[in-house]
Amino acid sequence: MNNISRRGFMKGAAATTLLAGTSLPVLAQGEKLRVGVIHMGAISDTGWEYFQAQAWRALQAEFPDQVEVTVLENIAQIQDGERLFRQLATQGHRLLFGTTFSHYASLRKLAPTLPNSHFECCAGIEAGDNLGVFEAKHHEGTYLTGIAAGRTTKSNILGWVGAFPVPQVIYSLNAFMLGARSVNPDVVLKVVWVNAWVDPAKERDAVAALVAQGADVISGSPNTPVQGLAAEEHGVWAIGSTGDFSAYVQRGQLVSFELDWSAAHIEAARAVLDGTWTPTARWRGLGPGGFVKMTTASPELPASVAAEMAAAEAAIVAGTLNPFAGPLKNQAGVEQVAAGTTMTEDEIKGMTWLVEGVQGTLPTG
Amino acid sequence: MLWLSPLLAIALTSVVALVIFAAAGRDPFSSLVRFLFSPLGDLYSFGELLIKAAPLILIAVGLSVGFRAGVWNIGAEGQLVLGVIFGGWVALNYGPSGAPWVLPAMLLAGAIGGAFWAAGPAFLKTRFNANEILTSLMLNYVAALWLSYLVFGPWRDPMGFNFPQSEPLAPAALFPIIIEGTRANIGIIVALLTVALSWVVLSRRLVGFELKVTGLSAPAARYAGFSARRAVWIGMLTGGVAAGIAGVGEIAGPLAQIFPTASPGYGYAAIIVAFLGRLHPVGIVFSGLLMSLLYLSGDVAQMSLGLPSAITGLFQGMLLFFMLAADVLIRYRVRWRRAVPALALEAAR
Repeated sequence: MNNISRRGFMKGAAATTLLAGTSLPVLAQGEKLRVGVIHMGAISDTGWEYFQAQAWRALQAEFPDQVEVTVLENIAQIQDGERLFRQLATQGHRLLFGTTFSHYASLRKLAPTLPNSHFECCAGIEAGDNLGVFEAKHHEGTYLTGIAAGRTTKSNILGWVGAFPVPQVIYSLNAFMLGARSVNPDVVLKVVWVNAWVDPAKERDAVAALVAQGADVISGSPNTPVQGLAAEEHGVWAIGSTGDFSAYVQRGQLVSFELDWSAAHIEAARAVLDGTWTPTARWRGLGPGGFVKMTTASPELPASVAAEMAAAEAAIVAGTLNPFAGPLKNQAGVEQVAAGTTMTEDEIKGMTWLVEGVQGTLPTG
Repeated sequence: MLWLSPLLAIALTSVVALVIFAAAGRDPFSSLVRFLFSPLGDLYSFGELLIKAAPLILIAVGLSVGFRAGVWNIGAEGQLVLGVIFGGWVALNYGPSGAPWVLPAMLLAGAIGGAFWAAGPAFLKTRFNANEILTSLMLNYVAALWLSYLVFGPWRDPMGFNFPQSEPLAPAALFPIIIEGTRANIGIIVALLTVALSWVVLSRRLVGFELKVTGLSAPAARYAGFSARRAVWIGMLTGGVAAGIAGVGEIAGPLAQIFPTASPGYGYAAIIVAFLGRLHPVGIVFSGLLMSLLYLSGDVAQMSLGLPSAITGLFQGMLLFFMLAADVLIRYRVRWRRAVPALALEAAR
């Protein structure tokens, strides 16, 4: 979290305004910044939209006197999203956030036509005209949880419940595998696809199928505690991937990481207040101002493993460790990334192959 | 007197709305004014009102043809989805060619798709006397699953990061915009033409009279030599065609892409629109606009009044409830009297 005090910030803002007198701020002097956020689903108590909501809550707390947030939730229809973004903008909201990839296409169309407001889309692909995007390096979180899984498993079989075979899920599970193999070369990872982001019934079935195949640590793309609860029932470990579900999964959650979008919201609002906002693409993982945060670990996790994870985290933040550094082989054992090289960000973002040791195929349409 | 009941329903719904706003701690009158009129603030919003009203009016007019004859087609939602599938197939395969016939072909295909889906219940009704309410309703779920299958499978956009959505439709497959600076497209004109056509047919042609008589009294219709089967086929197919075209309007209009959730439930909402409009084409235009306004107001409720958007469903349901109640109370007089013991009734016989 950024620790600039409000007074310090005001000084800085005043100085910037004096210096950059020629920039084009969308706000008049002393005007409150009105921020609009459109959630596709209900905010509820946990899950994707909940973490999105935590971000604007943090934004409100950061600028209690300068920022006013209008929130619309449960806007499930894409037709409606476009209209409401436009309406919020014409009502004087100068910074607008879309919470999912599904907003991306309509925001790309809309943002250039409403130059008086600025747009930000979570999980968008690339920055566009008047549209910034931000996404988390999920793989930095899954690499660390993979270390815990690799140390904890007794059967040397891990399980992954896959939502959709999109690159974001693929690089997450690959990094989970690489993290596990970094401490336990005998580990394999079995994957079951449910073809849904949220489908409690299918997720439960998937967990049962993985347990039946011998998996004793289960991770996946949940956003809900369902998989953790199912794993707990089967007496195997679960991992809170993209969310800390220890409040629900009280015994069976081994480790967890959370997505924290506060920095994206706060930085964008600060830039709009300063009149310095430009469309950028932010892809961040662990570390200060990052979007991935390690959260609670089970008391049963040995201190040595926790220390191992902490060391890996420090190395990732310092830039000395990259989960996708070569040599990396695919499932067939063919080298994909040569020793001494590292995958580029674009290569990771477009990843469509599974690393060696992952068992299961990508569903083909 | 019956013409009065939609107005009564609107008035009573407004009264309940005032109570709800007051209970939620808002100033009731200014909230109601905001709720109803702020979606009409500018040209863009007006266009939004029209593009939401167009499919509702179109489907409701189609359904009203059957409803007049006592043919209860509850399957407009599924028929709309079939319109999306058939029209979408044309758009995805021939849209990129840019040919000018793509759009008319999509409309035709959508109409065929909707009619095809409505033909099932019509056949089952005329052949086996199966209840068309149940068969048409159940086919809605089948249609939705077919669309999911296509969008998750063969139609998935290869550039869409595996998200369940089709490729964006080619410009040739999109409705032209009729009001600059809005999303209002020619779908609105299609809806109005349908209204005009159905008004002529229903009130100036024999077939309209036939349907009306069948609905009012089946034995009388039979005595006059009007075929009940014919009424079922006409009623179901008109509803299917209208819903299919409305489905094409969604993908060729505001969506411009095919999603598994192409319909925001217009097939169901149109049933309310049809009844609120007294099954009359002109009445349906007004009720369609009102219903569309309620959708937009639900967002206003969230945006500026801080109330949940579920309020839209609440008001829509209340409208229908009050209107049905008003109908009953206009047609029948309520008499309060002491309950007569069953035994006394028996004895009286």
